[in-house]
Amino acid sequence: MLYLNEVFSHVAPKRRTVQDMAGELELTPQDVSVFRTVFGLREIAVVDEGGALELLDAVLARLVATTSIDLKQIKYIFHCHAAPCVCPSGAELLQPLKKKYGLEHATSIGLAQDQCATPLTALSLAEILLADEADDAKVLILTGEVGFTPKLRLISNTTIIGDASAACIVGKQGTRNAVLTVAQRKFEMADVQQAVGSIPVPATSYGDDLLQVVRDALDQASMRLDQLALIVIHNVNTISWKFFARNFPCPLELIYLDNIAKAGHCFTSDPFINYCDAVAAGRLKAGDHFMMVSVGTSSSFAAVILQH
Amino acid sequence: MSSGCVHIQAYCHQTFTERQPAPQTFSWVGEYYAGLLEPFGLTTDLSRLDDGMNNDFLSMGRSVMNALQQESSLEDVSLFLMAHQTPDTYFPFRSTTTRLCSEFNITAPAIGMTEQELTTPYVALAALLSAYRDGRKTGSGLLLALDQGTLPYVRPGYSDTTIDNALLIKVSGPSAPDGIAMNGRKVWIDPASRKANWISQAIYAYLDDQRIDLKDLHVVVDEQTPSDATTGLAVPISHADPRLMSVSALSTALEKSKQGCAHVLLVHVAKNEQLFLFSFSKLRTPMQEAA
Repeated sequence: MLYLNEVFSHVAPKRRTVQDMAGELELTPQDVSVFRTVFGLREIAVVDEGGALELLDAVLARLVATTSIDLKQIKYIFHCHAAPCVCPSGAELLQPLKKKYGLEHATSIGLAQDQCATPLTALSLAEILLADEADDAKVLILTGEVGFTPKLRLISNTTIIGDASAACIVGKQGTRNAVLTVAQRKFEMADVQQAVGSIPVPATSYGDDLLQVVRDALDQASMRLDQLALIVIHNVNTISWKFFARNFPCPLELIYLDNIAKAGHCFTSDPFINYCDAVAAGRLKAGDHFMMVSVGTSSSFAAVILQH
Repeated sequence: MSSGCVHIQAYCHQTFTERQPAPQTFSWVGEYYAGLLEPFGLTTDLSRLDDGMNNDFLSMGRSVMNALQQESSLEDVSLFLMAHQTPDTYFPFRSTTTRLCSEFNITAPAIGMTEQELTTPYVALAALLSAYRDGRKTGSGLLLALDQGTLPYVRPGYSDTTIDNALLIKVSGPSAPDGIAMNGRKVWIDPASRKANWISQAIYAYLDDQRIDLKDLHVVVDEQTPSDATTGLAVPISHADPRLMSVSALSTALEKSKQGCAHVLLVHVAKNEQLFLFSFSKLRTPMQEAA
């Protein structure tokens, strides 16, 4: 059994409206209107200065200041990112942060092939590696990257990318957030991936594929959707989640949509940011079952069922 | 990493020396690389792409998977790991694992491990060991390690002579009847002790545990391992070819095993002062055992 022992998040404090970003994203007034009214995106979190290093620094500072876990227990650090690379090959992004925060002993790797779903599929790898470690060993799952050019901020007709980071400590021992099942699927969407020069747009079957991976997760856990207290999502837009609610079906209130309008889709960080905010807002009680769901642009879908 | 071994049922290593057509480019490629490189003090030189070999991950992965499939079925794959240090030639977003899973009908979890501290292939090996030893997982696991050298910048700290290559290994639990037995251990290097001595001691302890006699041993080290770490060992030592990147030490170890070495020990010292040891022992058939 795997547990999310502690989760931390940091959302870049500066906000820009979709309208403010229209020029650099080459959005028409009609596009702006669709993003606002149909997709539910209003403000996007953006870094004022700096990049991925600063985002990761901020969330690690929060972790180190408040964690109850001995950092020596962290054996691996997974930096999960949506873009294939977040630093040049051969350069070191995490090394200065590991030194600053006393994490030099941990082995770090990057994970990226599932794009925004990567931190959820990473749970499978964490469980595998922890099986050979001491009972109190931990894996630190880090997220955090920036759209450093406008082309990395826009998925056409789908979403606008914001900047944030998150840190999630997972281990074999814990008292909360037991991971009951991790379902993941890679659907064949060759046409989706042929996009050259821009982030691929989700396939037309996106909605149905999302339903399928959620059903997979529920089946694996022998649960029904109405047994969940909350679905913690990736903030791609509201319309896709309305489609999900209508077609599964389930009440829209079951889905934590609050941050779509406030921050945009923050690459790999969304499920952890939404978890932190949902807990702070009292949306999860001890013992509640909940689901985390995310999707990568390569048609990688992941759904995780946990017990808070 | 500890206890039982896993079996490498098959492997395939290929180098790709033919120049391929350049991938389709786009207007903002310079802007992208500037954003990626400048925070690290590096500059973009797009002209380097003109001289590249252009071997993309999907083509290389497809090639070794097709080749390995001739020898061993991929039908029972229950975990697929991909490890690399360099990025793909394809840009900006394509998931090689998704495409390969689709093409080879693999429905198992597939995870891609990228550049950090150059330890990804060893973490991937450790994951395969952890997943399949002691029958924890059924079926077989794949590790695809690959790298390519067509980049619009000079990789900091590395020679500019990467050979495009890919290695695919297929492992299963210890019940498989043949292949190469692989085991391994990850050890913290005590910073208070002299590193080389400590590494030697850790190697001897591992060999004792595995009951591997020095007279049957061949050692493979990569370029990150301190040169004096293994000099005290009175055994043949091979230095992995750094031009092969992620694949270098593992392909060398497997080649030595194929050439008849009874036991091959792969030694890697990670940047975080962690020692990775992997041993590869040829499995003997019952007839060989009897002889």
